[in-house]
Amino acid sequence: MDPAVRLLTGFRPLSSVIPAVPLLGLVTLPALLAVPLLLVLSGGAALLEGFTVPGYWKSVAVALISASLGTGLAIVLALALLAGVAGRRGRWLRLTMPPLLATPHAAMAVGLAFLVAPSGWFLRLISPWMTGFDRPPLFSLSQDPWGLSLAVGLALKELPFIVLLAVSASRRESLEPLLRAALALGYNHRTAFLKVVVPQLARVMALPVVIAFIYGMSAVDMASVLGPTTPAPLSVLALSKLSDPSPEGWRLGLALSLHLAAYTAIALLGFAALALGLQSAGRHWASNGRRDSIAGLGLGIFGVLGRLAVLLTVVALAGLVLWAFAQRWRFPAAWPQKWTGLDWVWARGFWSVESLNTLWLALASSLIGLGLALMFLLTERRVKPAGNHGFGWTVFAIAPLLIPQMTLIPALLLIDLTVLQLSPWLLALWGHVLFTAAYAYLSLRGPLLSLDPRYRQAALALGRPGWQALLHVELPILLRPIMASLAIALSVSVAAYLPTLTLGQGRIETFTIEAVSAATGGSRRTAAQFALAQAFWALLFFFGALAVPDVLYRNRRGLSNHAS
Amino acid sequence: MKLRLLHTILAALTVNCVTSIGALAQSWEDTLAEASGQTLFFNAWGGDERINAYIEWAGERVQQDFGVTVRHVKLADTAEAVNRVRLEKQAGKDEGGSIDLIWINGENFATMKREGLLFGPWADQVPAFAGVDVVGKPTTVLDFQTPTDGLEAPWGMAQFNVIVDGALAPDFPTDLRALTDWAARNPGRFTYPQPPNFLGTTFLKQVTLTLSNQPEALYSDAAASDFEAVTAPVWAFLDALHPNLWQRGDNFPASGPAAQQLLSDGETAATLSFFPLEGPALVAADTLDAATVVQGFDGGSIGNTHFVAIPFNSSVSAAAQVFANFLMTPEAQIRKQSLEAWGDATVLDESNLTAEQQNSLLEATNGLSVSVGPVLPEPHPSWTDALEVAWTQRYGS
Repeated sequence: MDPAVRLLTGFRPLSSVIPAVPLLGLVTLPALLAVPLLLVLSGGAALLEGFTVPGYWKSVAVALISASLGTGLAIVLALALLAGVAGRRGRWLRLTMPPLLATPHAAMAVGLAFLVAPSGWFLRLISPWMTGFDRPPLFSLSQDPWGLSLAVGLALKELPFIVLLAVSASRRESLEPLLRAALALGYNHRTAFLKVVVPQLARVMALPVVIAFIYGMSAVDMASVLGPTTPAPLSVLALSKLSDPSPEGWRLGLALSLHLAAYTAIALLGFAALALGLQSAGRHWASNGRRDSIAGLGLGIFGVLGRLAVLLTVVALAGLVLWAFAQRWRFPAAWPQKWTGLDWVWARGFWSVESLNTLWLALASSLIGLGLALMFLLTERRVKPAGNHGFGWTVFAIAPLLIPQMTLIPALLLIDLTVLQLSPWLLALWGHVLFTAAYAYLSLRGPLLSLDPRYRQAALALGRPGWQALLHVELPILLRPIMASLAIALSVSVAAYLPTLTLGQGRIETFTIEAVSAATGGSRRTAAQFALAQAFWALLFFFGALAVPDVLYRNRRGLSNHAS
Repeated sequence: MKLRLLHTILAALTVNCVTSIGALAQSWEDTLAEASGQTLFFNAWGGDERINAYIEWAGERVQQDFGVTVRHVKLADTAEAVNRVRLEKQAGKDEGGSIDLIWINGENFATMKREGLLFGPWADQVPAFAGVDVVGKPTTVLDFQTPTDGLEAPWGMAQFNVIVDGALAPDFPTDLRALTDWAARNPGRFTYPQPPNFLGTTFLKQVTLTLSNQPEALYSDAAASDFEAVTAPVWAFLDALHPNLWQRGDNFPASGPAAQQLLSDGETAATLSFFPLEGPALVAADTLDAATVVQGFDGGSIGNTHFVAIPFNSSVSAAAQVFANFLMTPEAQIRKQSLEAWGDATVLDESNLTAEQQNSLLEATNGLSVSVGPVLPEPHPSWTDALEVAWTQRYGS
């Protein structure tokens, strides 16, 4: 039964769901209001006019192609990488993924674009001695008209997100013994992974994949660097209409962001049907008894591609670091010809307005988001009958991730302007909390709900009240996953672009704002410098949060391996 | 509950538009006293790091002299600010608006003036305005054919030009009619920022003024003329040009700086600019090659003035006036024109400057001219939108 129905029917005493109310009010409600609100404000005429925008259908196609291909590619690469390390330690994967997850989209887009451009680093490294090019050639790999390069960029960025969630899910669901059993039965390694592990993973990975797809549909920062411009993907088109000086153009922008939400929903329904079909086909295939398979071989090839993809990302970021210090770097020089000292971006040091804004927004929004998610989850655990999937609960908690940002953020701004009139600071903080709470919930849900209930029962049996059982027994055991979700929430906040820009009403400068504005404005050096500063904070927060349990648990080694 | 919220919003949005423009009754001393200690949010396009650095410098100067704190809100497009002010007006937010000063001209100014979104008149009453050359530089009070009426203060003079890599393209034509031939001989080596970026749109206007059989039509409302007839030669020209542009015209750079990056990378051989001193300034900054040349167009190139304006609901209009006034002083104007800062030409009457100031202006620009030939006035603002829409129909989809 979903929580709303339960609330209405009074199935439980109302007081027992009170801890879930803050999240429902602050996170779920604005997300639910967004679509109806924009429907009213844009009006039927603008909704229809949206179809007549020049290049509309191609723009829709580019958005769907890039987000679907990008997500699909990310899934295949992630599975292939996981298959390669399943049953092994896979340290390199666990070391490279978190920094790549924490690296902002915009930074990665600028780095990738520089790598593959006609005047990019690849060609600079082999020109003119190998290619004979004294000037950049005329072909171009990025910004292709159908968004394929954007798809690759999205796939590279979503890869760490999917890999990390899959790694933690596979550890939680104890999939290792299954794999070992299959190997013992003579299955070849990759086929065993596909037939035994993947069906289990698919169940828990569905939600993260849906979120990655929705993000891909509505991402503006990566699309405006790697995407085509004639026309641009739907999200960029909607944003450009929203900044049209005429009221009609602005209403058209609202209408287009509603279109975006509709296409996202339709595509997801299509994928759900596809997944069901795959599932039944896969069941026959998995039980056909064959010990090796072509699919297993294919997975091996994608495993190589996956490693190349990780390498590509790392090289792209290295190019970005070089640019941050390059005064002059012209084609076909392989390395910067003249280095810059620390110019005005650096001269401000890390204690600038941008740093302070990044810092307080990230800390405040992550702690609030984590608190909301924790209270909500504890309520969910108490109220939800055992064995229930609690899908309704999850949908409520992550509602902001299920609506394209391009739809949600303008709606929140309108609510504020017309009713609440909060200060930009408070509004931006709220906007960040929408996402930090949802991501914290998502990453904490598995560990908290699968925690062995006997810890709590033991504490209660020893005469401790419920809050002590929670505070002294359960939360310490869960410290590692709690800090991991705090780490994710922090990096989500550091990288947030639209919420900071639109809700902060331009008054809150963070490194992400600066990096995206420089990335789309064109100066590669400035973009690189801001992106580095942004990545610095994201990584510092990320690893800082992850290090907390190691410090606290240095004398409790038994506990440190307990829950992750 | 949900319904009531929607009703509230609808009610707020249909609030009657009341124009409230307060007259300026106080003296400059009062304004200075009021401004001290105020913080103002200057919403200005933030895509150029050198302009951003200049704004930062100017902010520090008014902090020193007048205790005014300037915060630069870096916009991707000035229209964002216009929208925000309109939204605030519709929501009944008549004071404490989120924007205190906007960098603006042309269509955006015409829109804000028409909809009563601006504070003033004030710009012709602040002391530094006396130094502005309103006779020799008539666009300082006539913005794209719209009289400024003291609602915006002139900040700088722009003239459309081309920055050419002289080593790669010594023969880049000054006659636009010859551009298609040049591009055919040098495929992929030229492009322009995608309209509605202002440089791209200005390129369209320049082409229209050069090629159209009825260029005079551009100086009255676009609705009053036969758009197809006026612009037919333009589309024929672009149809021939585009296959030989950068990336075969499939994509266009998003902005001036993005196009400059292509020139700096050697992908293109020429790029468009609004500041004749920008080319030399980029050479001085080591971004472009020493062989860089700046050139205008045969028959003259479009020139205009860019301004700063105060929204009707700014609660620190005193600080905004103090900052706008500083931007028009010889000190700020000379630095703005210098190659090391920005290279944007002054709005002041240079003959009224002291000999010392004239010298430092000459030094700051290395003796280079801020003109690339005769100035063509900006077309009527309605052409901006008309050309952008038509371009997007043909090439942007």
